[in-house]
Amino acid sequence: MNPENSAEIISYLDQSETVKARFAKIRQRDVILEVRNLGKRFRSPQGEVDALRGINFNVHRREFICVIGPSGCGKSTLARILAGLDQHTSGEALLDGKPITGPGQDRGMVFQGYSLFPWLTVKKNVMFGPLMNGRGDAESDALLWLELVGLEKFADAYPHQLSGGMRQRVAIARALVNQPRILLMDEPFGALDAQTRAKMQAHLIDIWRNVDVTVLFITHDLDEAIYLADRILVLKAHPGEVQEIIEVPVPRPRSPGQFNSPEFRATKTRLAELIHPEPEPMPEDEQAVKPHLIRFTDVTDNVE
Amino acid sequence: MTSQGFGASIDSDARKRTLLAIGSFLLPLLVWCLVSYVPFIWHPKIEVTVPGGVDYFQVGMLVDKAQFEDEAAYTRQHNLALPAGIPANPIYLPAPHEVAQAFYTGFTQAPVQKDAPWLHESLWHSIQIIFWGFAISSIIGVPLGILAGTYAGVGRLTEPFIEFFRYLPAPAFGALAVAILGIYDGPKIAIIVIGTLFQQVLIVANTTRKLEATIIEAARTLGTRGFRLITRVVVPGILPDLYRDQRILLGWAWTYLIVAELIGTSSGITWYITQQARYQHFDTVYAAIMIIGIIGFGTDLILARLGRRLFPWDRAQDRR
Repeated sequence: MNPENSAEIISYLDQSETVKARFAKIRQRDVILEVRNLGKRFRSPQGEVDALRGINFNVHRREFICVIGPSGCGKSTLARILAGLDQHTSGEALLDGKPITGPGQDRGMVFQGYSLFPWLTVKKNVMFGPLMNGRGDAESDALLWLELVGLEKFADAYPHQLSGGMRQRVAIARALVNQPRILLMDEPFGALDAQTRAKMQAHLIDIWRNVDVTVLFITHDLDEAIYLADRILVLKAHPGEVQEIIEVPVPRPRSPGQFNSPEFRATKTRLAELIHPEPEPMPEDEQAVKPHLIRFTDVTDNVE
Repeated sequence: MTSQGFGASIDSDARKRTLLAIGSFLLPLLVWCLVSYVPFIWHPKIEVTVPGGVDYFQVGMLVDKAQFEDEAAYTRQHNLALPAGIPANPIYLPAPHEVAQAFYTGFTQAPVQKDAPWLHESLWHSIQIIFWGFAISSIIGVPLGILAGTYAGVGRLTEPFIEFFRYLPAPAFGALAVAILGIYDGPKIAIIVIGTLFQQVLIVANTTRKLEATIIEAARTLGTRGFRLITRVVVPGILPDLYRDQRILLGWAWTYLIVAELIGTSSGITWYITQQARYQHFDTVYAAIMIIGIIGFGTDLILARLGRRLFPWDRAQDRR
């Protein structure tokens, strides 16, 4: 039997001994974030809609959790509730046992869009949090964290002078300088090109490895979720509910070389099943669009 | 290919733009020169140089062409001395060099009437009116606009009324302003405030609303709360746009100046202009009107330049 075939048999539930031991170790750590029966309901023109319903999960200290789901599953809403930017309508979310009621410096957030303050230099952007909270030597802290993301040379540049990837590095440094308990990242690399994105993923893992921080990472990219996460929280849409919490069987340390490993592919197959089930019926307004192609070029002028 | 062409032509583009900008001023000037200096273009009048046998003609008098022809024919018939004249424009269209001269003498020679203010004195008075009107309007309008744009409640409480009030023409309050504030500078400043303030609140509120929501959210997750959200995030975030709004609104204030200065005792540049027009010194009238344009346009150019200095992060200004 060749290795190709044996790979197909592996299930995403099969974990090697080291991976099992790793998860056992994670479970022994303190629970940092506790989400109990969390729900978010809002009013829309179509009536009441459940953006999130009955969400339950725990996050352990220094765990890397990815949240994945189809568009409209409320994964961004979940991150915003945890950040304190949105209010949930039922259940509770506890950080270190204290309920989350509003934004606070114990939770850092990195947004998809460029959220840097355009009027401040890179260094002052990073100093913003410490200054707001009147804590310590803001400048030396900022320079330290800029060094960690490799941007100390750009300390005096303005955000618009940086590339997309560099701006997200600054955003990460700016969130981390507050030394949050948990770092919430809402599709932070969604707007980056594939190459920059891969670099940023590797960089994020490096940071997470060296900094005492727990990460909750929202994404819609299956590869990204598997590559980064210890566990993946799979949401489904309408209403947003937890479908499954997957323990990623891919061993650490991770590298892009693992994208083709059997564990990786098994997990990806499972995720694809969960996220893209049987095709849903098209919405009516989509059905109304029927392209009627007319030949606008010479009949003999064929391209294929 | 084309994109390369665009990139290479940035320098010559800038040169071309400057040339066209200068051209936009030279073109009207050229038309004015043509009408003034080429005798067969327009020139509907005849300036009498020799009265001849026409008893009411005087040297330097302007008469209609047809009238001059009639009188010339009459003198020819009756064998009187023939009048002579050269084509001329009406008195209300002085030639460029006359206006240029009036411009100069406006600053160097005392006005013809005794006790009348000099051009620069009138102008200085007008500038003070504008300054105080705009300053008072801004002190109220900018903070109110920012509050209305930041807090939906404040916006809903104030904006409908302001929206209504801004349709009331500011000059309509002239008589009322005089009754309340007297006849001197008070009502004039009030008219400029009324004309500017209500637009200002709405424009600033709108600018504030356009600030990226993510920026405010990011600041909140970093621990910014309450009033500091306004002073440390909203205000710096909208500052370049606010500055641009203020530049536009300052132009607005100038347009209310002329009306404002006619209220109560007329004063300032408006008084100067009406007074000069009364004595048919139209060259001086043009010079005074032009100086308003020069001051307005000049301040705006300087403020635009200054803005580029003040807000190095603002990319909207690079595009100009």
